[in-house]
Amino acid sequence: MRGNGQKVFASKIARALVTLVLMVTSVFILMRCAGDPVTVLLGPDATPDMRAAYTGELGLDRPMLAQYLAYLHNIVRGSLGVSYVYRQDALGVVLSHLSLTLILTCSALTLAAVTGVAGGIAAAVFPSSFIGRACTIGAVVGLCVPSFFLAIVLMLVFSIQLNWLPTGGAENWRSLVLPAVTMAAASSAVLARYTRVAVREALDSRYVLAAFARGIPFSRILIHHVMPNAAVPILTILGLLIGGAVTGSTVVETVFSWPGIGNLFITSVGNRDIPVVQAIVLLAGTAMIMTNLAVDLGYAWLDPRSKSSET
Amino acid sequence: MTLPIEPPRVRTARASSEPLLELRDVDFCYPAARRSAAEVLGGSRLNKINMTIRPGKAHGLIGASGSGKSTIAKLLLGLTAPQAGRIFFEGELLTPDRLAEFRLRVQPVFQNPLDALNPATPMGKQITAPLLVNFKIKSSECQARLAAAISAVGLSGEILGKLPHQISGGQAQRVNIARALILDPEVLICDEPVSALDMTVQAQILNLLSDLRESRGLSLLFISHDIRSVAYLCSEITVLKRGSIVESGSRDQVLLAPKTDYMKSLLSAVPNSELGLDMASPSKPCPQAIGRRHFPAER
Repeated sequence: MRGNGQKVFASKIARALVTLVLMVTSVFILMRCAGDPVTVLLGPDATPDMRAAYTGELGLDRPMLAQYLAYLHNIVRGSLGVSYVYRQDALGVVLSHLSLTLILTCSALTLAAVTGVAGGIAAAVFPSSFIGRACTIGAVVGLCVPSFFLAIVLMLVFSIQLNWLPTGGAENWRSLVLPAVTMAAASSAVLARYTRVAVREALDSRYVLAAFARGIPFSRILIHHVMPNAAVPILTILGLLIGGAVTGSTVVETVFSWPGIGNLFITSVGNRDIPVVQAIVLLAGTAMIMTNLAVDLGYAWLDPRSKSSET
Repeated sequence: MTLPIEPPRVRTARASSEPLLELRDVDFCYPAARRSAAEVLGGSRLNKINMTIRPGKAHGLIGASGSGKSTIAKLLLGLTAPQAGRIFFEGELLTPDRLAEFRLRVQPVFQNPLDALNPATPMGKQITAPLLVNFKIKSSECQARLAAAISAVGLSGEILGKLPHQISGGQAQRVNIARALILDPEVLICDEPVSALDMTVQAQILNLLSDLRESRGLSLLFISHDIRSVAYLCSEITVLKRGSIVESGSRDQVLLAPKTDYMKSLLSAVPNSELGLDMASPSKPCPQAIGRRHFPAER
């Protein structure tokens, strides 16, 4: 059993490494297809000599394979190149923006997890009650309204009309409220819908009926019978949301001028700052892969059946 | 709450003619949202159901799919309430405030044994959960009861650490029965307990139920669409068709002298040799399968 578990773990790590290599390669190729950074950085008035000198300085005059191998070599050494715009280590530039993005995404995800799971449970347990219906309708609305539109509506109401909260920036906790709520809305709706279905399915199962018939209280049935069996789909969705959170904040950060990675990403794409864009994509991809790995390992803990079904 | 009595016990005090569990003029209809599915199966409602389960007796409930058998089981387990009519337990009306106590004395065994077990919980915990939740009980006594329960159903202690997907259907059904027995119930409501099992395991489970009824004085409601297993186990039989009782009485009355065409057609599908009936002396008191160690339908 233990040997089998180690095999499963090793195979998941191997898959994660292969995915990382594919992602690094794809990022390299796509960024070279996205346009010439020299033209963007020097402008249309640059002379051919200036362009040639700058191309050489950035290392873009070498053959593509040589660039790729140098890129891989740098990644292995922990360096993702120097930003064309900031003239600093690209990873350092990204990490300097990471803390604010993490604050925003952690706040949004915590809010989404609490409201989404609680709302989903309420909608499943009390489907015909006011609370149940309100949660179901709220989830549908949360899914349908785009985040940029919700952001503008929230800004109009809470910043412009009521003047309670700032429209942008990252000065204090009040600046965090609107971006976090905007970002949490869609995630919360997705979680609520999946939780409702998973909990309803578990509640309709025979083992729950049997537990009722044995006189086990509903609260205990919910905690010990329903939630452990409904947790796997909820964990899957939560994992995807966490993995996507690093880049998922791009729109919200741009609308609220939140100086995080999302904002940096948009700016860097516009400037063709290839090292920074590569660093962000690599960081986001790694976060997604690591989260999926953690979720896969979490399955084995939550649902022991998955241990024996894994190959 | 403390545990009232020491199990296992054989109940002999109550006169066997006095009803233990009784349905009187019970009507039931599923809510509109679930009615269409029930109507497809031809059993959207129960009409004026009168049925009695007597102490120490095995009562069989026969009927086609959708006739309302499982709905009667749910009503008797207090999992759903009738729209009209009343349910009595020990001669007293079963009211919501009596349900908690009632559920400790009337236990279910469901059709698909693996579905009735929580997939994420080991067997040992599943068997002891009703005991630990409902009673203040010492760990040593809990373990003693657990050992007695699994021994009564012929399981070994190795199974206690296993999860449902690691055991067979027959073992799972024995775990379900052990889980019911650990509360030392007076009635077992067995809703098609063998229909999801293969023939050999069916015979083992039927023999086990028969032994438990004899040794503990358990009352059984045995729900099945298989006349052979009902004939083997039960002394009283009720026949259900589209939500109404069409025939009810002792085993010999129902199987040897059926009054309705429906019952006759059911019986005509099964050879008498498979029912184990004594055609020469139909008035003889029906046997309770005592001493029979085989299942007539086993092939």
